[in-house]
Amino acid sequence: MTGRSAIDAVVKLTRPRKLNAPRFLPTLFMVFLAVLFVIPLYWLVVTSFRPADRIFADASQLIPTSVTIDNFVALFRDAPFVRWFSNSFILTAGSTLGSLVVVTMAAYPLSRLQFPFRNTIFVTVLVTYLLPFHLLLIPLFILMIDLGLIDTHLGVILPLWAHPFGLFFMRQYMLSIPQELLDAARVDGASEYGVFFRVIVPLVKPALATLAILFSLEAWNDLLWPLVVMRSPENFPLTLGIGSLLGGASFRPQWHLIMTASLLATLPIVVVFVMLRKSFIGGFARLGTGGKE
Amino acid sequence: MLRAPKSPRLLGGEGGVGQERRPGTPFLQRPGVVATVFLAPFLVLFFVFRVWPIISAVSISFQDIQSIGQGEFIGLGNYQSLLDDERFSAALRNTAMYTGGTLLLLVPIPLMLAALLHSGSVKAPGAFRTILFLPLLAGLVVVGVVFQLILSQNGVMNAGLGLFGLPSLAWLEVPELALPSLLIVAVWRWTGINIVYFSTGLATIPNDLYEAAVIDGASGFRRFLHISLPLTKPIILFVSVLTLIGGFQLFVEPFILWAQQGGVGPNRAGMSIVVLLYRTAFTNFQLGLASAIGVVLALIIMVTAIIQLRAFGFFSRDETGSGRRRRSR
Repeated sequence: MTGRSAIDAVVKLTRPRKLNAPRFLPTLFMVFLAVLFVIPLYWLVVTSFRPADRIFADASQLIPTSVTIDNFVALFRDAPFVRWFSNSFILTAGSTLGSLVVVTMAAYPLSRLQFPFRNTIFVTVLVTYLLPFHLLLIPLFILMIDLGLIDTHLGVILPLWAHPFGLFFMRQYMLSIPQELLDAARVDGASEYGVFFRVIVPLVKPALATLAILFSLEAWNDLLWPLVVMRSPENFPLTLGIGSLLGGASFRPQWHLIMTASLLATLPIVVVFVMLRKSFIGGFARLGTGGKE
Repeated sequence: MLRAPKSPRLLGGEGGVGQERRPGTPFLQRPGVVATVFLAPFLVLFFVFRVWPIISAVSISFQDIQSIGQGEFIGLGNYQSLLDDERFSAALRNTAMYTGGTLLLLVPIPLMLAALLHSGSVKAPGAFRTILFLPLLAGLVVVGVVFQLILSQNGVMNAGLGLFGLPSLAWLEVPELALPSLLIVAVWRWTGINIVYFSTGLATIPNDLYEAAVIDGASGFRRFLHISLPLTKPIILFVSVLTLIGGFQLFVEPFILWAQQGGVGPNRAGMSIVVLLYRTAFTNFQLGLASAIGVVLALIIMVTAIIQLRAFGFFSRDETGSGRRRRSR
C-alpha cells in the first residue's frame, strides 16, 4: 500500500501535468452509472406507495404525486401474503440447513481421508454439476408423485440437499486446513468423529457462512422447482405467489399487490445484506477464486 | 492464518493419517466405516435425486408418455419431432442469441469497469462496487416484475429515451425488441457481480508489476492490456463459462416479463429453451418431448462449456485454470 502511494507520488512529480486533465471524469462517469443502476430499485420502492390506479399512469414519475400505504393493507387483506412469506422461509431454512449438514459431512472424507473410489465419487459429482437442473425436472416431478411429495414442503426441500457445488466448495476449503491440526487432535486421542466436530467444523465456519448465504439466496428466489412441486396457493412461496398475481389470460394482473409483495420479498435479503455486507460480497468473490479467501 | 501455502489441486488432497490404525480399532473407527458414515447421507440423496433422474431423463426422452408410468419406446421419435418443430428452433435461436449477447456485454464491460475502479482514478471505488452489486439482492421474479413496469410504454425507459429526444418504444410488445429487453435486464442484474469477480482477480496481481510498468512509462491502457488482462485470464474464463451456462438456462426473466402471454413474448420472440421445456411438460403434458429438450439443452451446455474451456487452454498441462489465486504481498 505505502509502496504504491510512494510510486504514485513519484509518478505525479515526474509526469508532465496535463492541462485541463479532467481528473474527476471517471468518478463522474461512475456516479452516472450508479444512478442508472439504482433506478429500478428505487422504482420497486416508490411504486409500492403509489395509489393503485396511478401505478402505470405515473410509471415515469420520479416523485410520486401522492403516497399511500393502502397497497400494503390490501396485500395482507386480499392475498395470503403471510402464508407465502412463511412458506418461503420454511423452504429456504429447510433446504439451506439440510444441504449445509449433508455437504459438510461428505466433504470431510473426500478431502481428508483415504478410501477406495474417493476420486471417482468426486469426479461423478463434478460432472453432474455441469448438467442443468432442468434436465432433472421431469424425472424429479415423476419421482415426487411416486413418493407422494407433490404439494409438500419436503418435496421442494429434499432434492436440494445433495448440492454438488456445495460439496465442491466445501471440499476445496477443507483441503486448505493444515494437516498438523488434525494430527494433533488424533494424537490427543480424538476419534475421527471428534476430529470432525472439534477441529474441522469450527475451522470451516467462513465457508459455512458463504454457502449459507448462497443457498438461502438461491432457495428464497427459486421459482421453477416450487412451481413444479406446489399445487395449492396456500403452499406457494413468495416467488410463486407473486407469479400467480401476475395472472394470465383469465384475469388482469393486480399490480398494487404485486409491487408490495415484491418489495416485502426483497426486504429480508436487504436486511441480511446490510448486516453481513462484507461476507455477502466476499462470499461471491470467493467463488471466482475457487474457494480461497 | 489457516491458508495452506500451496493451492489445493483439483483432485487428491493431503491424505489422512486415519489410514494405518491398528487392527484392534473399534468397528465405527475403522477408516472405511468412518468414510461411509460421513458420505452416506450425501451419496443416498445424490443417487436418488441426481444420478437416477439423469438416467431416467435420457430414458424418458426416448419414450412417448401417455400418462405417468405408461411409456412407449419410440426411439429417436421425440428428437425427430424437435427437428421439425419451429417452436424449438425459435427457442434455440432466441436462447443462443441471448447467450451470445450476454457474453459480449457481461464479460468485457464489467472487466473494464473493474479495472477502472481498481486503477485509483475513481474516488470511493468500494462504494461504487457495492451500488452496482445491489441488483443481485432482488430475486429474478422481482426483477421481472420491476422491468415490466420500467419497459412499459409509459415507463422510465421511454422517459429516459425522451430526455435525449428519442422516440418511445413498445419494448415488451414488439418481437424485435424482445431480445434487447432481456439483455437490458441481464446487464442491470449481472454487471455488478461480475465486477466483484474481476476485482478479486485484479486485487491478486502484485503491485510491483504495475510499478515496474509505470517506471517503464506504460500508459494506463497498456498496463490493462499487458498486465491486468493476461493475469485475470482464469477469472475471465470463470465468468464466461458462468455467463454461458446461465444464458442457456434462461427462464425466469421471460417467464415473468411476459407472464400475461405464457412467458413466450410477442411472436414467441422471448421464448427460451427452458420456457419451451416447461410449457411442453406442464402445459401440454408431453413429458417425453420435454425430456428430449432437456437432453439437447444439457448437450449444448456441456459442449459449449468444453469448447470454451479448451479455447482458454484449460486442459493444457501447465495450467490449473480453476481461478488459482496468486498471492500478492
